[in-house]
Amino acid sequence: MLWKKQIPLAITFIMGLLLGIQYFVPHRISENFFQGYLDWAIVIGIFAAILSYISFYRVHGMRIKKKAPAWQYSVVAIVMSVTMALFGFIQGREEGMVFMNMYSYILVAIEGTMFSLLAFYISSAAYRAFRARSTQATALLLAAIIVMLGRVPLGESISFWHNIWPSLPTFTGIANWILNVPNMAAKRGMQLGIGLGIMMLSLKIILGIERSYMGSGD
Amino acid sequence: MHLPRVRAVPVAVFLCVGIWLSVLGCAGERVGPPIPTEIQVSDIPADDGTNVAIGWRHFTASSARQYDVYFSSDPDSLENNIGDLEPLTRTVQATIHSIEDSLATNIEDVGYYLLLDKEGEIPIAHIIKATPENRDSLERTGEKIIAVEHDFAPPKTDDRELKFALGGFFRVRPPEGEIAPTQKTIREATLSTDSTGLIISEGKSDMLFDVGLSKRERDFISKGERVEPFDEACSDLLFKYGREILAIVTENTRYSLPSENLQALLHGQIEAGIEYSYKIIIIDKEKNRSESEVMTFTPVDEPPLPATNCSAVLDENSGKLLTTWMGYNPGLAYFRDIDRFEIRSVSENDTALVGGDLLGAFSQDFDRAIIEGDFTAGDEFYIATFDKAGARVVGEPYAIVTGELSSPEMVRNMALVDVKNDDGGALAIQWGVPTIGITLNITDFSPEYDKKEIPDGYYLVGNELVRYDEGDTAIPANALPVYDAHEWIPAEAFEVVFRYQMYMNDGNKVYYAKLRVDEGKWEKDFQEMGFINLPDLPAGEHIFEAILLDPNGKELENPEASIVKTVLIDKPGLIRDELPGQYVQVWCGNKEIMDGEEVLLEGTYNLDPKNQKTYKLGGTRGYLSQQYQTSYPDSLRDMGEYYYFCRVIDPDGSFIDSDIFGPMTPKSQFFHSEKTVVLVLVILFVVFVNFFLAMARKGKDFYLRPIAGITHLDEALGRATEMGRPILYVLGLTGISDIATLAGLTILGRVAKKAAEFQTRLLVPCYNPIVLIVAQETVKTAFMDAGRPDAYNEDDVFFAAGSQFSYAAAVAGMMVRYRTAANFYMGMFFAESLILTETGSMSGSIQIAGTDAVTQIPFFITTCDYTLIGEELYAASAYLSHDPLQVGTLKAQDMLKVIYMIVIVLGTVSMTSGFLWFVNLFKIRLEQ
Repeated sequence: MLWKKQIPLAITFIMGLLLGIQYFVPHRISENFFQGYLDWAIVIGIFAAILSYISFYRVHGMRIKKKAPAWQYSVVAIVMSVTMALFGFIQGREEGMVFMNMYSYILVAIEGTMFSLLAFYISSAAYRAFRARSTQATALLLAAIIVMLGRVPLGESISFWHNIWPSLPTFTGIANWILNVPNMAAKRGMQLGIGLGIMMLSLKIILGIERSYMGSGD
Repeated sequence: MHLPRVRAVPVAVFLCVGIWLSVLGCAGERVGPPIPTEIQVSDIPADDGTNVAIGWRHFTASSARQYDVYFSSDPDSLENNIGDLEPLTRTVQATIHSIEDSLATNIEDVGYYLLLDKEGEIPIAHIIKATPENRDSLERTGEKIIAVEHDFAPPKTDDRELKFALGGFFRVRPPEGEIAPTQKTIREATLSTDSTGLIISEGKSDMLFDVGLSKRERDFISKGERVEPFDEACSDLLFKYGREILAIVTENTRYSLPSENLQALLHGQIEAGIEYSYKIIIIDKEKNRSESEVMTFTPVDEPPLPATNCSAVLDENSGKLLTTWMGYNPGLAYFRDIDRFEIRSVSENDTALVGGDLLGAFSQDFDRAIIEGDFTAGDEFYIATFDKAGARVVGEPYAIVTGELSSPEMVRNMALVDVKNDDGGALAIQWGVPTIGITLNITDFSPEYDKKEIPDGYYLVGNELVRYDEGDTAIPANALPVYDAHEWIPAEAFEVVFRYQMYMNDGNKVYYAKLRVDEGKWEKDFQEMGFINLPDLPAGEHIFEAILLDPNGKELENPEASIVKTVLIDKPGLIRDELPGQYVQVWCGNKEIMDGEEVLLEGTYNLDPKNQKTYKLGGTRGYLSQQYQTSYPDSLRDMGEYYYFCRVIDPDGSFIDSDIFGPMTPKSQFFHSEKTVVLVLVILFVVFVNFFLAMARKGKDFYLRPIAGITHLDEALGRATEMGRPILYVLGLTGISDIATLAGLTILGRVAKKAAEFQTRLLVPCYNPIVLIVAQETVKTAFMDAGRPDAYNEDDVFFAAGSQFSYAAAVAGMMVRYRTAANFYMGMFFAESLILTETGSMSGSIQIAGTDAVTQIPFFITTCDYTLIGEELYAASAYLSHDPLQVGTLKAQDMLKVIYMIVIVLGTVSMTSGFLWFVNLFKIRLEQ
């Protein structure tokens, strides 16, 4: 219990308190302490990376061993990871090396393909969001149409009323107003709440009120 | 759903081909990069013998990417132990290859030949056009040019051997047919008539002239398509009608032409009088290496250069004698070796300039002095310059001339201050009073012009209109024939941008500005600079006013803080304040005893704090910048005694010195005073938390607004249990230091406990290694708390991928393969959010998301069944636990929200009403 609860809680409390104080103290002792904390974080991260790769090989190894569904992909994952690591260690990671060629011409291409899926997903998500089933959804649909028209040249050219009454805004003007006034107000309200939430959760963790990340909330 | 095995085969084949191609891309013959030519060592003049520059020529098409210069006083170490030496490295950026439609212009049919003058290390290229007379000779001595390249071609465009040559050539291709007139603009001009005819006189706005080509340009075009060597005299036409040739292609060879001179500087790493050996190792991007031969150099300690541009001006009215000099070559300032300048009078018969009265000795940064004494016009001085080794050189003697010198005033409020809220590393000199300046940018956005026909025979020569008879031989080659003129029609209104700029130093309070035009309504602004836009200001006289306000909204009383300007707005242009011509030099020096020795960081080694002439120039600032700050390295924080003085210099060179400020030692601060408001809010927050915790401990029952996403969490878990399918829990993409991830982990603990109780499989694919370890521990402990340690499978909490879209692909694949019944997304997400949730939506999972990423919330709301928006993510754990202590903290958060709302309303009211004291409480300056 001591090792599992009390000591981690004590470390969290002390470090939380010290880093909280550090924010208000510009003294060089405080700066050195913060730099030391950052260095420690890097060192711990490196050790954690080793554990994460053990986890990666173990999970995929088990999938191959058990012939889990689509286990062949696990073979590909392990082979590719070992191959890239080997070339990286043997040849280095400079431009023109096998490692960089594999990174630039295989990994980047594959990730680009994944990213491009977003275009289709945004379309289907937009279709679902803009179905005018209620007053709120209709308002959302109207706002979205205005913002879309305000972002393309067509919106400016079909704003015929602006030529008759120049004081009335074009689609671009209305879109900018929607983005800069109601949208910004909502965003800032949300960010204020997020800021408070962050403070609250931090305090709860530092004071040991919130312990569920340690597996037990009680 | 089992994915058919056959789909893995093309994936594996695709990746194997990728690996094979990647390896193939690196295979091939390994040839080292070319060794550079024209390697030479230049000893830096007038230094202390510790600096040399090693230079060489690098061709753009060369494969060399890095030049390592190794040097040593022991030649053997360059041959045997080069690994022990630290090279001086010069990296070269690879030329960006571009392939355009005119990558190579084929000129084989035109009949050009390349002749190489091979006398130097690199041949010099000559391009000769073949004629019936010289064709045979060219066939024997030259190479026929097949094509010329205008863009940097990839090195492996063809199999021709790559060679280098010197020369600059242009492929000229003039346009065909008649060239339409172009417009030339003459600024602020109008047309008028005098005895000689039409002339251009001063007008209000720009005038446009339709002009034809000059005789020079017509002659250039008439020569047709050709290759021409670069000629400075017609470089404008070469660039207008031609393109630079970067490579010449002959039958067997590509000659690359562009090159640059590279240099590696050995500064302070060598000693005078010692012979050093050096060689250059050249490395290309494939790490192939070539080596130059070993060469030698011996640096020399040279005497300083004599002072030049010396002058002495005597103002007979004030009796002040100002002498100025240039003590060193500005281009070599970094290397100068000067101990002091001595100004001496020239004694009779002292032609060798070895004696004379010493009038002053100054450290190396000084370039002017006011000499005390009884002098008359004609008296002569000379300046002797000494280096640190004692070498002495003298400049030419110069005589006093009489003239008028201004009497600059010392800036007001000068002070030396320890910079606040820092770590003890900075001091600042501050001066001046809060000042405001304005600028008016006047634009006619829809200019209209009156077209005026110009009679034949008129030419534009520079900015003048001159008439010549047809065929007149006196017409200059650059004269442009003029067809029409377009005169600006004065506009009735202009767009005017009325800008202001505050000038103040960090020691001043936070000020505001208010502006108005034509005594209209004042407009307030709250930044150091800003503007108001007047889109339709009628032409005519207008009054522009700008005033600085103190933090309480009162007008500052010093005259520099307000400006009233009456301006005639009748033409486009920029009207700005005349800024003070004076500038301020800040001189400094320090000393510190470290390990028993005196260490000087700023200042000369013979610094005497009481003698301004021994100080070092810290920096020069404009009169209105009002501050000069120096930062010191860690090793001298909280240490040393620092001295400063300032010199205010008038445009005519006359100056006045301040008193010496100091000694002062910069101190580390223990509290950042600008963060007081933040501290107060934090304390208030802690008080509220403790108050509500005490209430909760006493058994007070708090009401919690139900949040749909949280109340349906159990429903999602129950659904997964009923369907016998796993739960997927995604913790986002950020590390453990992100609070959103911590919030995700707190919810994970509770979800894992429920999953253990329901005996449902929980999958947690992780992106961050540290998060993985914490998540494993969280889930494991939750299973133990639920009394089901046997159900915990460590492989269900695993590392999926370390890059964003690989992770998205892995998690999306799991959703499809395992057909997860419930998906939870709790943490920080980026572009992958929609890929994950849309896949989950399509696979029919119930989805609950929670994030504080404002940009991703719309995607989650669209695709998930329930979404915890922003702060709800942080509150979720308290909701789930029903723990009075946790709920009490939520109430404290709500109370602070009430305070926030009150502050926002009060802030809005006080800002609108001009009661700025309240607003200032929350205005902080973190950057100092």
